[in-house]
Amino acid sequence: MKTQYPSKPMVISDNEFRFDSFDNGKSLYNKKKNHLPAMGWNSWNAFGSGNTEALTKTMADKLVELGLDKLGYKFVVLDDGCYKSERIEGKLANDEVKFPSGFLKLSDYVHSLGLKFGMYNDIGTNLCAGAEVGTCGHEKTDAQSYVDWKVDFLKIDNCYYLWDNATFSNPENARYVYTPKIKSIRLTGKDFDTTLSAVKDGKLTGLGGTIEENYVLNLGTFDGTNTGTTPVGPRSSELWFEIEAPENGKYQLVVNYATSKENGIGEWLQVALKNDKGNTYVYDDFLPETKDKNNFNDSNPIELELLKGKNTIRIMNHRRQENTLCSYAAMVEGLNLACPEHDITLSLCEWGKTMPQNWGYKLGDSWRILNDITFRVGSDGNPGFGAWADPGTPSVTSQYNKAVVMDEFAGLEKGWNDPDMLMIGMNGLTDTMNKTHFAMWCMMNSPLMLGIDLRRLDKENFLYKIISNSDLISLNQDKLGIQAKRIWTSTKCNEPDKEYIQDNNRTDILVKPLSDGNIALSVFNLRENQASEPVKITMEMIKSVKNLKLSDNFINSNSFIAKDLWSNEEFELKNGEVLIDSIEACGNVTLKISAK
Amino acid sequence: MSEIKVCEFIKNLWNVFLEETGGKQMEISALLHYGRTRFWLEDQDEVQKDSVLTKRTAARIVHHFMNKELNFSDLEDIHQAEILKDLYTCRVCANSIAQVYLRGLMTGEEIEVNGETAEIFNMLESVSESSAEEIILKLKKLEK
Repeated sequence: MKTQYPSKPMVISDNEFRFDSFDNGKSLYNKKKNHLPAMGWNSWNAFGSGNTEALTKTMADKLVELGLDKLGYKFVVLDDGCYKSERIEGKLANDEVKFPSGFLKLSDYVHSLGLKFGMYNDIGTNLCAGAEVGTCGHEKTDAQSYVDWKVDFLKIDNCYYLWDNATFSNPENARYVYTPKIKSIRLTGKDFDTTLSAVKDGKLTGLGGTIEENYVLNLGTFDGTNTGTTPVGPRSSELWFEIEAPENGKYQLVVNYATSKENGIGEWLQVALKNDKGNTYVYDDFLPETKDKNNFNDSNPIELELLKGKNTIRIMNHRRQENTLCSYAAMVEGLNLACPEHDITLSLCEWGKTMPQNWGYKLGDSWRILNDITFRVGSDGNPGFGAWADPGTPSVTSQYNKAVVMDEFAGLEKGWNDPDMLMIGMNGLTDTMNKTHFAMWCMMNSPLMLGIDLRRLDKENFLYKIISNSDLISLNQDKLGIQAKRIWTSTKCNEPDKEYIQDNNRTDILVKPLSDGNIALSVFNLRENQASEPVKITMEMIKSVKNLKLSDNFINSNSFIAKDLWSNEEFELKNGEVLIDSIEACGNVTLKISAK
Repeated sequence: MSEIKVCEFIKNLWNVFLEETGGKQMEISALLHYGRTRFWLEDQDEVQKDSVLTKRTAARIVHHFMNKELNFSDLEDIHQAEILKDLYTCRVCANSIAQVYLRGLMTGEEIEVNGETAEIFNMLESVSESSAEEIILKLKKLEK
């Protein structure tokens, strides 16, 4: 039975799902918040599509045998590659070769060990590996299946997504997420007729919109999938026209535009009216295609009710974010219908494409910030490959460099930035890199999802000692739920906590306030050579950082004890200073600093 | 250009390497199931065996066949494959594409982007019968 997919994006009738509501702090569908970052094991980095029922059960056994469950690693997550490639009677089904007993039996096994069970799907039509079993058009059915399988965690990907130009989606889907080129608007009413130029009379707000010749384009949301696009600040533009209406009443708006189906120039227009009544959406749909992107047409009239005096007409397209939010919302709605009291942890995996840090908190517990950390996942007998650095996304530092400036978006009442799963244990990473990778993820409140074949570990193993460092884990799981803030970097910049720096030739200092009133301090050397310049950090310097949310006790204290969270060495800070002579290549010093 | 079905490609691949794998000729449904149990084939290769072979699917099958049946290890350094502008479009198959590309088993295509020439793998393009034969022949000549 072929799935009937919708022919266009959903109509948004509730403004709670719109861009204008992103800053209101309200979650949707009673989504339960206050989840600490998820910890567990995910099959993808360890075994890729080659994961099996037998391997998963062994991993679950090992989590318990190694005591990792007691340290917080609770979730056992089946990633892509576990489903049959077609639905059976409209429902998701297990790949009977890899998972012969079915998902419920596996879920029961995982639960019998005191662990939690997670699965994976996609808001598009197909999973990333190609199987046409994405949740699109099947949200309620699939949600019921997940509830029936007693799933505690869902990671939901974004391949083959219908309403944006996502991975394997039609590139022409850009038509949904950008306005057409806009040349002018004409507004008419009783004794009123004015034509306004987009370039001369319009005002671009936010960031991204551009002017070429006599028109405006790039009215959409930045794509955050790849490195190089900062996550901070306005991530989209609007084109505003200020209108002084002579009287209350109905007016007609005609937009002069040209369409295309490419990045920067689309076919979908949103128009909202902003005045003393608030913001009213008056148009949210396609405009008819023009002959090509250089031929401008007039739209049909769009009716507006203006108030006498000042009105602002907003021309925009926030559908990149809104469409994706609505698609994830359909899953959450389905889960609520299937089990109103559920508390399923939801991991949004749209790779940062739609700037989920702005809206993800409304539905999810974490949101990916970039494309994958590795494209060379392991298999049974092969640990896979991870890189320390890469110009693209697949490396420790690529992910860290973006996540480290995103602390403002994270928190217990929101959720967590997700720089993807841990690569600890993969070829390509040294012991030192693995330690720093773990320290970074712990300090940044990232989900801690192991991607290693746990059969390789025993309690004497160096990798085990890294992932079982309870002091570091306790930073990640601290009840205060504050992501560490970068307070200093050796690269010259004005705002170390906000500037997106990709050059790894530097040292970063991060501070994390803790629930016991003390702090964690990390110094990261991102270089692949030793950092020989001494680093001095004073408690006075830390106290002077704005928006750091230090406790009164810490602020008022003048003497401090530090504990090195790798060596367990404790020492008193002389003159309230931490002095580090040098840091090895890709190394870190991570301390807990307590006020005496 | 005549296309080739997934099942035909798999059968041809298997039959060329009977000596190396110690295997024997099999009826296609048995072979597809065997490949799944050995993890060089996926469920979709069996369920959609009559679909046209794409470059992406060919890369995946060949790569995993090399690993599982011919005992090839992956090339460690795949940076040279990053010349393919669409390499990381497919998170699931990026490594497979890199491995077959760097070993010269499958090639990219040149396209024009803003007046400049770029190379892509073009993973959703279908594979012709002759191209499929060429891939298998190149693999046969490949040294470990």
